Amino acid sequence: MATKASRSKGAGRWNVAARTLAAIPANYVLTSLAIACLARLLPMRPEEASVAATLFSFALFAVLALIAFAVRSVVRLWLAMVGAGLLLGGGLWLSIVTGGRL
Amino acid sequence: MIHFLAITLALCGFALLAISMPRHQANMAGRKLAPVVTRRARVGGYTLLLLVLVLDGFAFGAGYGAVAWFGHLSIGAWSVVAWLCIGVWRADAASTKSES
Amino acid sequence: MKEGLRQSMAWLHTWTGLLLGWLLFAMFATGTAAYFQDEITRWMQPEVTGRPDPVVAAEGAVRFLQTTAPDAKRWFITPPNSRSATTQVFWQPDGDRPRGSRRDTSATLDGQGRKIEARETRGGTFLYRFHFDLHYLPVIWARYLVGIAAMFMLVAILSGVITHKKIFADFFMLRFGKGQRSWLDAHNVTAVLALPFHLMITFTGLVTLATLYMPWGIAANYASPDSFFDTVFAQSEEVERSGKPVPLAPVGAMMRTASAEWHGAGVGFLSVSNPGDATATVSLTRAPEDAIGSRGPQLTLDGTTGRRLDASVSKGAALETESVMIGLHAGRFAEWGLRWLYFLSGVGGTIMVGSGLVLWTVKRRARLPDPERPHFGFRLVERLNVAAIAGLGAGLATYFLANRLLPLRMEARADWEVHSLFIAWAAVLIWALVRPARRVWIEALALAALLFAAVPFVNALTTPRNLFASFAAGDWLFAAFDAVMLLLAAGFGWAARKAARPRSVRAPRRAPQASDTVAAA
Repeated sequence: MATKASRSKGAGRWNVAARTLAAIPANYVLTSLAIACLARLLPMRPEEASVAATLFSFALFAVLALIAFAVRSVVRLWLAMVGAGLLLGGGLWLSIVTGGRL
Repeated sequence: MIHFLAITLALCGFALLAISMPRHQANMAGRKLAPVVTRRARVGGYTLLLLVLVLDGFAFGAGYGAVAWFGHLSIGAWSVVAWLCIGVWRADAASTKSES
Repeated sequence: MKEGLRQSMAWLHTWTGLLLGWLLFAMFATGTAAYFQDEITRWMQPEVTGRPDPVVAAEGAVRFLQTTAPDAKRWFITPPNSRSATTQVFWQPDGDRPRGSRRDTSATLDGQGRKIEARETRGGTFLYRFHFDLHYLPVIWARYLVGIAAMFMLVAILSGVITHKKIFADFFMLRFGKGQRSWLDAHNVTAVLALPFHLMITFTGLVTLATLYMPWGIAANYASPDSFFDTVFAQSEEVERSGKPVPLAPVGAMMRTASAEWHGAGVGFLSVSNPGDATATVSLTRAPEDAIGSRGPQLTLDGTTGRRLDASVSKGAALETESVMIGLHAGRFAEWGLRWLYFLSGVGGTIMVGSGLVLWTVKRRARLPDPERPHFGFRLVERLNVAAIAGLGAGLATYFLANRLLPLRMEARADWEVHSLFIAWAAVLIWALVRPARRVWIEALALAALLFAAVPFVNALTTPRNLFASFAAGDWLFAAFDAVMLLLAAGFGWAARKAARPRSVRAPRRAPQASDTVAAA
C-alpha cells in the first residue's frame, strides 16, 4: 500500500530516500542553523535566549520532518531547504563575525 | 474532595461529549438524537471540561492546576470508555444469547 | 491533495512508529516503572524498614562521613524523603588520590547514619537509568539512540494525529475480540485518551537532554559551553583547603534555616565542600517533591558558622520553563494520586506502542501474497514484537525474582540481578526466532504471566513480608507491589489466552471507510 501510494505519486525508493535525507540529516543542519540564529536574535539575556531557542528546536525539527514527507515535489523541498540553510548560515556567520560570542 | 468534584465534572463532560457523537448515540441512548440535542450536548460537555480547568486553577494554582486538570480529564475519559465498553459487552452478550 | 497528505502522513506514522518501536516500547515500560523507582528499591531491599526523619538522617550521614572520609573534597548527601527510607551519600576524594570505583566512595545509610547491611541491588534506580542510558552500551551512544527514538516518537504522534483525525470521533470506543478492529481500537484509545500525556512526555523527554541533542543554541552565544553552564548553574568555584581544621556546624540547623527560607519545603540534597576545614561551605537544594520545577532553589551557607552566603538567583522565563518541563517529565513532585495517574498514563503509552507494533503485522498478514510463507521483513517484525513485548515482561519479572533468589552474599550480586533481566530477555528472543510464529506469542506471553505471578509467591517464601502480612500491617508499598505483579500476570495471561484462541472469529468485513484505507497504508 505504502509503495503503491508513493509510486502513484511518481516515485519509488529514490523519492523516499531523498525525503528521508531531507527529513533527518538536512533537517538537523537546518534546525541547528535556525535556532542558532534565533538564540542570537531573541531579545533576552544570552543564556535565556540560548535555552529558549533550544526548547523550540524540537518542535521545529518535528514539523520540518513532517513537511519533508508532506510536500509534493522533492526537488522544491531540497531547493527550499538548501536556500533557507544558506540564508540562515550566512546570517549566523555575519552575526558571529560582527558580534562575537561570550 | 476537590479531586472528587473535578473528576465527577470531567466524567459528566466526557459523557456529554460521547453522546454528542453520532457513533456513540446508538450505544448510549439507543437511537440517533436530534441535531439540536447533539449540539447542546457538545457545548455542555466542553463547558464542563473548561469548568474543571477553572476549578483546578483556583484550587491548585496555575501550574499544578494544569497538571491536575489533565489528570482529572484522564480519569473522567477512561471512566467513560470503561462504561461504554461494559455497555457494548452487555449488548453483545444479550444479542448472542438471543441468537442461540 | 488532501488525501495525498493523509497518505503520506500515514506512511510516515507507520514507519517512524515501527523502526524504533521496540526501543520505544522498552523506554516506555521502564520509564513507567521508574515513576515508582523509590518504591521498587524499597521492595528490593526488604531488610530496610522505617520512616526516618530527614534532618536526623542527614546529621547521622555527616557523622558517618566524618569518620569515613574526613578529608574528602566534597560530600554529597541525599536524605530520605517521604518515599525512600535510606540516605544516599557519596564523596569526592581529595584530588591526588586515584578515583576508585563508585562502590568505594558511596554508601547507603539508615536513619541514624549507620551503613545499611541490606542485599546489594540497583533496585528501581536501574530501571530509571535504563530508560535513557540503556545498558551494556556506552552511555553517550545510548543517549543519542534514545534521543533519536524520542524524536521518531514525536513525529509518529504528530503524523498519527494528522492521519487519523477520525479517531477523535471514535475515541470512546473499544471493541474487543474483533481481530484487526480491536487492535486498532486499543491503539487509538490509548493514543487519544492520553494524547496530551504522550505529547508532553515525549517533548519533555527530549528537553531533559536538550543540550546534548541540540548544543547549537548555546554554541551560537558562547564560545565554550562551560561559560554557559557557569552562568546558569552558578556553581561555587572550588576553594583550596586552608589547612586550618574547624568543625562543621550542625547541618540540622542549616536544614531548618533553608526550610524556613522555602516556606517549609524540605531539603532534598546537600553538598558539603572542604568539610572540617575553615573554608567549608554547605549548599542545600530544595526537595524535588515540593514543586514541579526540577531545579529547586539553592542556598549556600558557611560550613563553620551556618551563616548565609549566597542564594540562587531566580531564573528567567526560558530556564524556568525548561526546569518545569523536566520536572513534568520526571514527575518527582507528584503525590500519590498523581503518581498513579502518571503510572497509568505510562502504561497506556506502553500499550499504545505495543499495540501499534502488533498492528503493523496484523494489517499486513491478510495482504501477504502467501500467508503461510511470509517474506523476511514480516517474519522479522513478527518475531521482534514477541521479543520486545513478552520478552521485556519476562525480563522485568526475572529481575524481581533474581532479587529474591540470588544468594544474599553473592559476589557482584547487583550486577547479576541486571544480567538476569537480559538473560531472560535474550532467551525469549532466541525462542521467538526458532519457534513457529503462531505458537510463540502464546508461549512467550504465558511465560511472562507465569514469571510475574511467581513474584509474590517467591517474595512470600523468601521474606516475611508477604501479601497477607503486608495487608495486615498496613504496609501498602509491599501490598501494592505484589498486587501490581499479579495484575501484570493477569494482563499477560489474558493476552496469551487471546493469542491462543483460534482465528475463526474473523472481523466481519465492514464497508471500507476512509479512515481504514488510510490507516492501512
